[in-house]
Amino acid sequence: MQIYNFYLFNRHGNCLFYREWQRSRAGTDSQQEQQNLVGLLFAIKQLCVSVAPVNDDSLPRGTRARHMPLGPSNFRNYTTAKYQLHYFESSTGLRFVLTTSPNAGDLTRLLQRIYKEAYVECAVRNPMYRLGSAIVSDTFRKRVDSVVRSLAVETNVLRPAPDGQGGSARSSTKSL
Amino acid sequence: MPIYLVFVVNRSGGLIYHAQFHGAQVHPLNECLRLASTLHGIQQISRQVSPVENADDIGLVGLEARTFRLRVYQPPTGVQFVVLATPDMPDEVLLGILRRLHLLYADYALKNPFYVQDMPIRCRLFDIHFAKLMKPHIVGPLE
Repeated sequence: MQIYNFYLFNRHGNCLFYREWQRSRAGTDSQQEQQNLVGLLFAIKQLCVSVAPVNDDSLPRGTRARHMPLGPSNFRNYTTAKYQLHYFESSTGLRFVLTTSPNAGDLTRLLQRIYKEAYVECAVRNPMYRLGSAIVSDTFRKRVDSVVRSLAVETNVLRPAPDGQGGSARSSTKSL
Repeated sequence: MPIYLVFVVNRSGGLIYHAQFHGAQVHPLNECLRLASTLHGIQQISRQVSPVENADDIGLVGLEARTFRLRVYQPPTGVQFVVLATPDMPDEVLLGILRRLHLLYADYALKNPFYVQDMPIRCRLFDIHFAKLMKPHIVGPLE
């Protein structure tokens, strides 16, 4: 399995963070691409509301396609012949998007871990971070890398991240 | 593990056949047309945002949500067969149904001398065989 890239959008559709690993097709205009992706996710979310079966308890009663429910949708991932896109939306409207090679299974848990271990730890708890602004923190980037790397270790395939963040700096503190 | 919804969409995103079964939300025809063209648009954009080279990719072919899954089968002619089912439905089963549906389309719509391509399918034999194909996979007709 290969991991291509990761986007973090806020509820207004602004990209707070972007990172790529094994992406092979260079984007021509990253801003345009992000806008396309936000539009795509919006359309998918609306489609999911419209076609969801009636026993879907995530929909408020009597919901019809005209009404966009607030809060996270039940959309999880989609697959094309070439890649798979995984999606997780928090109740506050943050959208975590990860693309991988197809047949990666359900990676919602991984995206939830990125939310918990990277976003909450390194953005929300950072006193210098203003909510809704782009995340430039180096620690955040490393956290995201390490969470994604843990997945790659589980599935036994990984090339190091492009900037070569090795795990070799880890020194034993127990001996002290 | 029932099927909720079946769409047949032509090359330009127009809905040419649809069936809704027990468990699906009831949509009027206009709403179904809108959904089919939304899906068509989603496929086009999903090709554009691809992180990898995808010259011959047709875009989105499968979608998973918490309460349903959607599968698209597109033969080279560009017509699309879409099915919506419960998430526990195996992919091979859905693909098998869609392939059979393609056969029905070829046999009872395209070979019908009164059928005009890309127009809504109103063929009695297609309806009969479609009902037969769906029978084991649905709970019942729409409420």
